[in-house]
Amino acid sequence: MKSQKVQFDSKQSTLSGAGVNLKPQHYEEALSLADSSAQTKATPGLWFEVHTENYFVRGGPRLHYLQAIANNFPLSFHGVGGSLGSFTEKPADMTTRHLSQVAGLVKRFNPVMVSEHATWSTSQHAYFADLMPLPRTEQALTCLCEGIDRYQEAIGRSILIENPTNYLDFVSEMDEADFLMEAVRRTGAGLLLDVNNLYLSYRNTALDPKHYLEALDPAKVGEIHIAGFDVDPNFPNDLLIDSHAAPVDEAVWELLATALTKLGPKPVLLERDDNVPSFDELMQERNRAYDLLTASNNTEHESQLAVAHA
Amino acid sequence: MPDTTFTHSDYLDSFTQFMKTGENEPLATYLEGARPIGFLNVYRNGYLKASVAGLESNFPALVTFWGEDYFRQVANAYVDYAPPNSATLVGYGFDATHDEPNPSFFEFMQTQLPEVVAQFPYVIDICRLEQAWLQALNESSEGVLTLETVQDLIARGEDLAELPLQLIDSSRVIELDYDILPLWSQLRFGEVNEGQQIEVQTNTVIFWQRDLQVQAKQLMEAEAVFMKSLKQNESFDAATSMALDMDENFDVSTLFAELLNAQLLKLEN
Repeated sequence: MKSQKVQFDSKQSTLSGAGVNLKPQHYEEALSLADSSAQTKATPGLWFEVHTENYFVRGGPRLHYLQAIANNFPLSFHGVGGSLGSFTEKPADMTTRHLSQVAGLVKRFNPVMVSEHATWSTSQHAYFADLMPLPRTEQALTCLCEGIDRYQEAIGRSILIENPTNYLDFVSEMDEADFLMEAVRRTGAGLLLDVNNLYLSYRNTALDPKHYLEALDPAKVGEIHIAGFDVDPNFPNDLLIDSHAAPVDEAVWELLATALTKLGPKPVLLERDDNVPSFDELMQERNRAYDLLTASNNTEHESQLAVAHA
Repeated sequence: MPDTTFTHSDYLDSFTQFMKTGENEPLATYLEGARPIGFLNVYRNGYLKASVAGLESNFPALVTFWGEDYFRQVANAYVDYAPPNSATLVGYGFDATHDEPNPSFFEFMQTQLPEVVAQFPYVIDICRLEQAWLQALNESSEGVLTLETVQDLIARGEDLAELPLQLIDSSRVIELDYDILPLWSQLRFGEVNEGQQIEVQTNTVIFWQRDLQVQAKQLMEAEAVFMKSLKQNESFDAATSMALDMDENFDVSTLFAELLNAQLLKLEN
């Protein structure tokens, strides 16, 4: 008989505030905010996220700085190469090596949150360094859940899985939100809602973001991502690319506000992986997210008070 | 109801084929709606771009040497020939390992682009230095033998000649066919001097990590023999003998002090 899995509950999460995905060129500036008095005054609720695979090294400055960051800020690991959706099709030795390295990092740095993608990237001994979509079929769901289970077993804790960006419509037996919520229910994982991905899926494939948000269980959403996108120059009206190479678009800010209203306050992370600007510029965007989050916190607090006094 | 009679394996196989070759027709079965199938190129382009960017990070001096456009042309051909095997691109293009059994970037050039190697025969040395530098940077620097530890051992009456001394894990001894270190260093870290001469001259360089930075030193012949022997897990005594065979004036005491000062030694576990 299978034991009942512990279910992720965002109310149990200790991560809050707004974070930035950390790049090596910003280590020193990030650490300059580590002075507790300065951080409390200037950047309350600041945390950092890193791509887990970038720290698959044995030593040197990367691990040194990551340790310094972990000593001073909440830290989150965001995997990009777990290939959860092709788990049953991957060579076992690749999976074992990958999970062993992730587990080692989780044990060493004890991040507040660990997340991955509901996509695939590895097949037949090849790692395609992108996030490929899954058809939303029962078979794909089973494969994804096995991947999540193995990942969680390897690191000894639950993870969040992130919604993909859609550029085309793949054959499906269920809506994306239902597909992800079912994966979360079966595995005990939580959901990382990437609002930029959701916006691009809306623009690219007419996925309905309102319906999508309503289908999510707020208790299962542990983190929100925001990022910038690019317009494909060949298909400017039809194809938006999840590039993480530009500031967050105003439409994505609006969708973030909607998501926070529907889901309640959630930790928000600003992602930037290409055309990386100065740390100050990133922090300005991050601070805007923090202000939105604070506003949603206040709104929720007021509505709770109203209910209590009703 | 959509046709979902295909297996997940079929889907992944078709997509994998597309990612490797760009052939998108077999994926048509898995698509719905009116979106052009050509939009699939977003995934393949993203994969190629990320993999080439990984190679640029691993071979930055070669990027400077060739220029971005030519480097990317060669790098794209390599990605098609030998897609990454590991979900980290740190080390992609380096010598084959258990994690990354592919032919290296240079081996690819040797077998698939011999005309490039004929035109730039010292490119192999540039690749060797790029790989060694990054590996030294990302290696553990724990367990360095300090002067204090040596003094403590001497005070306890230990015979230093009997100690199981080794080079630290981050050390990399690189044998080169060309006197390329000065040019590589300029390409990697600074301005390139115009008209730099590259001589055919075998030589040996050692890289190691100290205070989170990679140090470099060009080795004399006897030093090179000594370091290579230590790196191959020979004992300190055996390495000294081999160096003395090369140069009877080899002074191991002076070298030991230099190695200790450079934080290049550790005690074998």
